[in-house]
Amino acid sequence: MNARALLLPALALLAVAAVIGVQILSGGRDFAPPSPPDPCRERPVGPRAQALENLAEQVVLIGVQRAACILGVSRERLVLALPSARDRQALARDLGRDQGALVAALKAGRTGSVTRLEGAGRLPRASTLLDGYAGQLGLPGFAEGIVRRIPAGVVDDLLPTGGVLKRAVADIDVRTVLRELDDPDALQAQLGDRIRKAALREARARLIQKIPAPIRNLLPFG
Amino acid sequence: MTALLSLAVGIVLADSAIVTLALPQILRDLDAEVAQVAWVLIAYNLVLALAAVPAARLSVRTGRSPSVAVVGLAVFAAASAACALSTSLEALVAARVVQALGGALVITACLELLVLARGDERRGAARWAAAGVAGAAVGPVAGGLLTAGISWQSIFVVQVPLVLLAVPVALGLRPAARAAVSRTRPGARADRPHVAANLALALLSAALTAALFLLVLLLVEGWRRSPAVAAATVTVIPVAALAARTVARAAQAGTRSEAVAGAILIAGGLGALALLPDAALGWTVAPQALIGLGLGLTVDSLTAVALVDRLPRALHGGWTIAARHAGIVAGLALLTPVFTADLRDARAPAQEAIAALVLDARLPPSAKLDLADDLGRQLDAEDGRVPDLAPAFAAVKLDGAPERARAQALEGALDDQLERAATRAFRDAFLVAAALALLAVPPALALRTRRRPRAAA
Repeated sequence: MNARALLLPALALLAVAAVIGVQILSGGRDFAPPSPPDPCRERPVGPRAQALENLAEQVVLIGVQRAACILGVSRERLVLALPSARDRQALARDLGRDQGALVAALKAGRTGSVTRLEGAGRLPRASTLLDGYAGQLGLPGFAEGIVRRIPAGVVDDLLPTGGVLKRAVADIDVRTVLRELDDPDALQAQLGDRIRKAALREARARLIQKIPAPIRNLLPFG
Repeated sequence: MTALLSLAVGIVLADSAIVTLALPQILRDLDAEVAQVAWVLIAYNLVLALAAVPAARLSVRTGRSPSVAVVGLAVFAAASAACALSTSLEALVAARVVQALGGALVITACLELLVLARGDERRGAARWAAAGVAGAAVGPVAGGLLTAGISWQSIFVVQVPLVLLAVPVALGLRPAARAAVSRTRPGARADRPHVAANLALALLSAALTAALFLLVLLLVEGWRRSPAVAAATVTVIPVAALAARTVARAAQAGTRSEAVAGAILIAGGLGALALLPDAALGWTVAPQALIGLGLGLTVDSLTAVALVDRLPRALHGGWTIAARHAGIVAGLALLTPVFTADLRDARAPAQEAIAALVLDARLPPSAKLDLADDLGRQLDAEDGRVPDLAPAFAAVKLDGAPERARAQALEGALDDQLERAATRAFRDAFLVAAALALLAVPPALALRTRRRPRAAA
């Protein structure tokens, strides 16, 4: 090729280099969905929850992230797989584990989540949640009124949030929760029941602790 | 007179890609999948590639009689009407096959008719090649505008009267045709096809089809732009192709130089489409301009090289059509599985990115759960296509302006993730297409340099 014949291909190369160069400098290589963050890197804990719904969200989100870290999968992949039995099986298969490992990781994650919130001082006092919770107890109007009138100090003393949550987390059967994910009403009823029972057991244990030891030893508390 | 013949040639070649922008609508109307609907394009181009040389031989054997063109025009028009009336994908593909058979007769017969009508071999052949380039470049735009303005069926309805207009012109050329035939080399053996030019045409056609097919799918299915917007966007290619003719005449660098430069530009444009930094339409302009310039520099000059001084002309015209459309079929066959697999693979990262944004959104947990349910349903309903998220956000109950503002921001962020995933899914296919265009450089280098005629068209 002579110089004249080379000019056109050279100009073409120049134009291509200019266009691709500008695009790369503008982020052309990275225009793709970001990779999910490492679930083992703890995220900052959010502000203290003011309602039961927000507290439940914090416990679940931190718990799922911890479970994902244990399983070696992204938090998002785990969350997307949880609602469907087929997806859970596929995830367990991909990870080379059985569904029991998935359940164990979720339980460990949830417990760790309560410990983390407690350690960070982000668990709200039970008295601040009582207003919202009293409405969900399904009590007759007069009884709900009595619950609302219990002094905050008594509530917080009898029902430390961390203690109640730890009992509830220990009682909740992850397999049942997973089975009932498709039926939010049944799931909510089951969770509500577990939290109520955990609260009662915690309150009972606290009350027993307040009885002087000599008398307590005489009573049949087991 | 010759304008109507050129128009018929342009329409036949436009049909190889005219339905590109209509594919999403055909896909929905006829309840098909992306890989299936690609057969509306593949069937036409495959049959045109296979039938072009036999049709050219028939044209030569019948003494270059205009009756071949007339029969071809009638078959093409009837099949176009059948395409418009199709109610199933199978019927549409069958009609496209017949349309391509008619088109093969039209295109090879019209080469001789245009040479005869222009009274000069080079001018006639250049007119034929230019009509083909214009048709191929304008086809997707015209198809997109008709689809957006009326319906995909209108693409085929409009063609019927337009191609039939060429019938009286073809019949009117009969006496001249006979006189002209005697000026050719009677009894001479057919020249061998120009291998390098036809090979380069095949490779570049594969790459160019990818440019149009993939870009349009990206715009309509990936970025959820309307067919009208997509049609307006891809007009950059024909406009740049027209500008390339001016560049080529000014440079007078010769066909080899033009073909090499054109192949580099097409490869570069496709490479640039693989590296888009955003889903804004503006970013597609420069890559398209490169592709359009490449198209204008290569296809008609390579066609002219393949035809010049080779007889019988119709047969060599048939070879160029066969090469171009075989390239288109190869491109579609190679790239369709690449991008459909990439689109499938893009689903999981997109879902994870969306899940991350929804989980971390500053919205009430109950609103997030409702939103997640609706988004999941939307994704299932779209069955693997890029979903429209707006209905899910419209359904969610929110209290107060701050929550609504946060939901709006979340919707914008989710749309951005979907656009990122779709754009990324097309990257490999664009890069494969760019490689096909680069493969055309060696055969282009093997061409003998020939100056472009100053009044080519």
